[in-house]
Amino acid sequence: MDALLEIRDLSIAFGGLKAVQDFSLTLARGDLQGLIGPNGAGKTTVFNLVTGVYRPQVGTVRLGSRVLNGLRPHQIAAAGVARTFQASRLFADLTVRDNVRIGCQLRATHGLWATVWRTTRHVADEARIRDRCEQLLATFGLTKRRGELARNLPYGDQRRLEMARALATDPQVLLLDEPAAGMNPPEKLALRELIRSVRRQFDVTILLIEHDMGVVMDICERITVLDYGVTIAVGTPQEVQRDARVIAAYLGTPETEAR
Amino acid sequence: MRLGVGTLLRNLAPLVVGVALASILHFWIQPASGAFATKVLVDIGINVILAVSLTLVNGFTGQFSIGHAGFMCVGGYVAAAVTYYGSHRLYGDAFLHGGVLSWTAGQGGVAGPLLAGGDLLFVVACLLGGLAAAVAGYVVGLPSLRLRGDYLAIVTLGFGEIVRVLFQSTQPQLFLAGEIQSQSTWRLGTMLGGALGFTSVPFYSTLFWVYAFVALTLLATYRIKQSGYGRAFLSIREDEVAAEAMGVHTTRLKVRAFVLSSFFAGLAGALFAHSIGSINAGELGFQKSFDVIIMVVLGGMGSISGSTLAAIILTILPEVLRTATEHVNRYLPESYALPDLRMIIYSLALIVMMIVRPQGLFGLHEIWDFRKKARRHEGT
Repeated sequence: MDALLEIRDLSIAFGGLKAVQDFSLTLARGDLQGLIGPNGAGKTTVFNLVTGVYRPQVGTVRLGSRVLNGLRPHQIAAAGVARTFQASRLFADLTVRDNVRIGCQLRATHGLWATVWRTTRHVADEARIRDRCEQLLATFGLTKRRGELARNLPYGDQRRLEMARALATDPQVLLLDEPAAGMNPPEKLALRELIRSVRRQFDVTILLIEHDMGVVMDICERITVLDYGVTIAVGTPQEVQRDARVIAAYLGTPETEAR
Repeated sequence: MRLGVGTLLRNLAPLVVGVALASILHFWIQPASGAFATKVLVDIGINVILAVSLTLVNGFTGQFSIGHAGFMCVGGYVAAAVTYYGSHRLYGDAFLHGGVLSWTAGQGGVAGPLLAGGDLLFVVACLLGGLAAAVAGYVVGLPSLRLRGDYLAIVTLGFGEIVRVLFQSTQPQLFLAGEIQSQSTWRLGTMLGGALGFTSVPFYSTLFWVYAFVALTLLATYRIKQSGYGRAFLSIREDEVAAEAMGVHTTRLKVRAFVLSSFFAGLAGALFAHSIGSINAGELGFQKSFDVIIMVVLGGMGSISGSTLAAIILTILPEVLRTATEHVNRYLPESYALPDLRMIIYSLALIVMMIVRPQGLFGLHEIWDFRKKARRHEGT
């Protein structure tokens, strides 16, 4: 198997709370995997560890042959790992177009001096960014809304804009944090198709956190289940759904009720 | 990199227009308007540079700096020292040695070349003043821009005070040509007048030079705002965590915005020193920083045209108010005379603004954005 993103034995504790313990996961190129678990299980913490928001106390994250842990978030983005956020973290007072263009900017090459003098290189760079931005907006059905402020978008559009912005950084690995949150049922159905087509079109490897089991079980090829920071199951959607510990974590058992 | 003549022209066209406007102000408006109006116009230009440069930091990157006068001070002293002592070294005195562009009509003979050696000295001094302020900005910004919000504000406030104290404790200024000649250049750099301020600076800041630098400032900041850099600055202000995740090197960009902003503040300080013929750190304290902040807040955090407009209004307003109070006071018995209304009106304007329109007159937008929006609404 051609491992693209390899997470090994990742752990972090906040004070006495062991938020994530010995988390390991391997994404092969082109994978579409899911990360699920009850609220507070540590899913988003895993994303924050991988993208450098938190520094892992133990463990390694590797993209291809490059070690990512210890790098700053912007360096990890530049290395090729992009993410969306659970609570929308769009640039609310900027237009839809500018949100995407900020992502595109990562691959631009001109400096401040070129900007002030508006050199040919700067103009060419900006034109390329504009084209790429338009292309992304078209893919996510946001072309008509490109001039609006991000804060004025309906919720579903905001989620799609988050994905468009993350893809603008031209990543190899895309981490989606609850892309379906706040979407209505038809939007959720469309989202399944969208995520699949994103993987094809942009040639990215995807790991997603999602509470909507319809979405997860339908599109993910492999699922990791977290509970209290510990991995309790790994497998195909069918295997995970049958796993007794997963059922216990989600529905509770008489034992855990008593706790 | 290919750079054709056509591209070069297009790139510099706005600057050419700016310089042309500055020339018109200098050659036609200034002789007709009289000394008082000229002084106000010069002040407007300097305040526009200050407000627009502060908007780079407080508006674009959303950091809150309240030490802008400190950078102005650094630039002002450095530039003043360069022209004053430089002039002594080159010409043996500290009079104007510029061409027509540096002469204010009414000060005597206007005949002479368009540009002369003194102009070069002055421009170099302004740029050196800007660079010195930029270096100060780097030194202050590098460690403190890791801090957020209030902490940065406190650090910049402290910086402003430190600068004031440092300049006030320099050696007395030298006035005798012989003494100046006998000192080394480095020693002269420490003789900045102390608490008395640095005086006898030649009056190079004519409308032409002030507005040429205004044009340069506006062009640079506007182009930055329109580019990837501007968007990256704004992304920091919007959401630092998300900006990092999008690959924006937030610390580096914050420092760059700070350094750029300091550069232009230093430039404004240089123009200021050469417009009133002196510079005194005691007068460029927290109050001056606050005046500039008011301009940025009223104009719109992040709006270049808004800050410009606010700078214009808030420079003219005190003059208008002063004339108005003088008029009214003439008809009032002395014990009922109105006090200086400036600060009262400022405070009221700020309070009303914070309640009605906390993002400032124009928010992030430029004045012409609104016209575009209005047209779009008519269209649909």
